Order: sequence, then C-alpha cells, then structure tokens
Amino acid sequence: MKSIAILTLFALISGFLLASIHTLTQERIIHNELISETKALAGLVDSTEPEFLHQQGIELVYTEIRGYGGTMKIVVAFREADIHGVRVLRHGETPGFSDVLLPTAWIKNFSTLPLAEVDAVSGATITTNAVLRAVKDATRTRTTP
Amino acid sequence: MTNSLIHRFIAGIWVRNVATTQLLGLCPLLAVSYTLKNAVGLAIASAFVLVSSSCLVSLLRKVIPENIRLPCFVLIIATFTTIAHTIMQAYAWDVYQQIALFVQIIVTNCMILGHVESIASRDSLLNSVVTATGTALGFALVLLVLGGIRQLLGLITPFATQPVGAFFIIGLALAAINFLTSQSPRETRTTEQEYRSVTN
Repeated sequence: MKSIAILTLFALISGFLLASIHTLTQERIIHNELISETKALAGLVDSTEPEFLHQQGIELVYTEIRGYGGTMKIVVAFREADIHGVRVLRHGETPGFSDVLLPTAWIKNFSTLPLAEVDAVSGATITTNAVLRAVKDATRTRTTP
Repeated sequence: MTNSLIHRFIAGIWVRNVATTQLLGLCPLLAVSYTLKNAVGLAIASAFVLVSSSCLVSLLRKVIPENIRLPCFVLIIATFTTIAHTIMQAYAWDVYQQIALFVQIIVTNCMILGHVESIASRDSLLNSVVTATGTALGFALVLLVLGGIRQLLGLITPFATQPVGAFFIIGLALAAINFLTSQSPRETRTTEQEYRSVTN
C-alpha cells in the first residue's frame, strides 16, 4: 500500500513538473518549428503568403501520416493539376534511413516524375510508402472534394 | 575523505570510464558522434540527466521502498530526460533536429540506471554527485574525442555520404587505452581497490 502511494506521488510530481516545463517552452518550440517549416519550403515556393501562392497558381496541402518513427508532417504543393513538389516538414524516422526525405534525394521524384512512376525505396520501405500514401491521399481529396 | 572523492572523480573520467572500460551507452555514443556539435549536445544532455537523477535519487534513497526502487528510478530518469528533451527543443533546435532520437533514448542508457542503482541509491549526496559528475565527464570526453576525429575524417574521406569511422575509431581507442593501462598494472589495481573499498 505504501509503495503504491509513493509511486503515485512520484508520478504526480513528475507529471506536474513536465507539464509546467512544457507550458513554459511551448511558445518557443512552436516558433522554432515554424522557422524550420519555412526553411524546408524554401526550394519549393518562395513564400507561403496566400496571395503569392494564389498568383503562382500554387496550392499547398498539409497532411500528417504515420511513418516508421511516429507522425510525419508532409506538405504537397500542387500547381494547377500537377504536383509541383513534396516536402517533409517534420519526421521521426531513423537517421540515415531518413536521408531519402532530403529535398535533393528521393523526394524530388515527385517534382520530376508522374505520380504513378514514383516508387518506394527498398531499405526505407515504410518511410517512402507512407510518403507515397500521403501524397496520393492529398491528390485524391483535392480532385474529389 | 576529500582524497577518496578526488579519486572517484578521476576514476569516472579515466580508469572506470563508462564508455571505454564498461562499454556502456555505446549506441547513442556511436550514432551521434559524427560531428563535434552533436557530440557536445548529447554530452550535455547525458550529463544533465545523470547528475540530476543521481542527486535526486540520493536525496530520496531513504524514502524509496526497496521493492519498487527500479520503477522509481526509471520514473526519475525519464522525467529528467523529457526535461532535457523539451529544453533542447526550445533552446537548441538545430542540434535537437540532428540528435532528437538519441536524447530520448538516454532513458534506457544503462550507464545512468547502473549508476543510480549501484551508487546514488546507496551513498551520500556528495559522493554520488561527485561520482556522477566524473562519470558524465568521462562519457563527454569520449564523445568529444570521437566526434572531433570523425568530423575530420568525414571532411577528408572522399565519396562519404554517411558518417564514417565509428567502429574503427572506438576499436582503436579501446586498444590504445587497454595498452596504456596494461603498462601500469599496479597503479590501476590500487585505484580499483580504493574505489571498491569506497563503494562497499
């Protein structure tokens, strides 16, 4: 009985501590994430301002999908009917294997090839399949609203 | 008293270095040490978790019942790891993006649980904090040396797209350290004995 009480007390204190640190740092973390998202989009679109995008005929679709190491945040840029490019904004994939997600690696295939010809990469099957699924879903929901 | 403290401190860095003599915590160490910057990040995070959990466990060692000590230790270590993780996310975003995964697995680093279980839960606050600091510095030293060498290697190796040299360098370092310590067996043994007499 005593052990239960002590362990519960420990867990409560720990939870409270983590919650307060989370609240304190929340703002900065969101700020950091925003900066790196803008950086990740740098090669794809010059600005994320809605007006600019409208002018260029570009539409950004943000999706989230489960990869190998947690949720990945993916943005698909459409220009009229075509896919202009795909970028991964946030992911928890294993370092090394996640190199396929770098803007100059596998993921640039979405800009150069038709969607049907983009294939998963062996060795990083789960990661690349997840990205493929996300892009296909994004395309589908866009064409059949 | 102070003499044995200094001994413990130095033992943690050299004679009983976790990475080179006990080969603990090698997974994050080898995975992260391909640049100096990452190495510094992981060294600071590990040191923070190790020293603060040792401190807390040592303070609470009379409160924690024997039968649930492991869940308590893991809870404490996990709490400090999450704190380190959150703080890095907020204030060291660049490094965080490189080594996020390996900061999270500090929780399962046997270096830390081993230290907490064998020293912090049995010893006074001062002793365990000093030993923890020594151990953390020893770990940091290996990380920094490895990180420095591998960053240089990465620069001069042609065709290298992935970080190079982890296993070779740690292997060579271990061989060199074993050679050096075998050159002075008596000195090593006395330190080892003194350490034991302090721990027991």
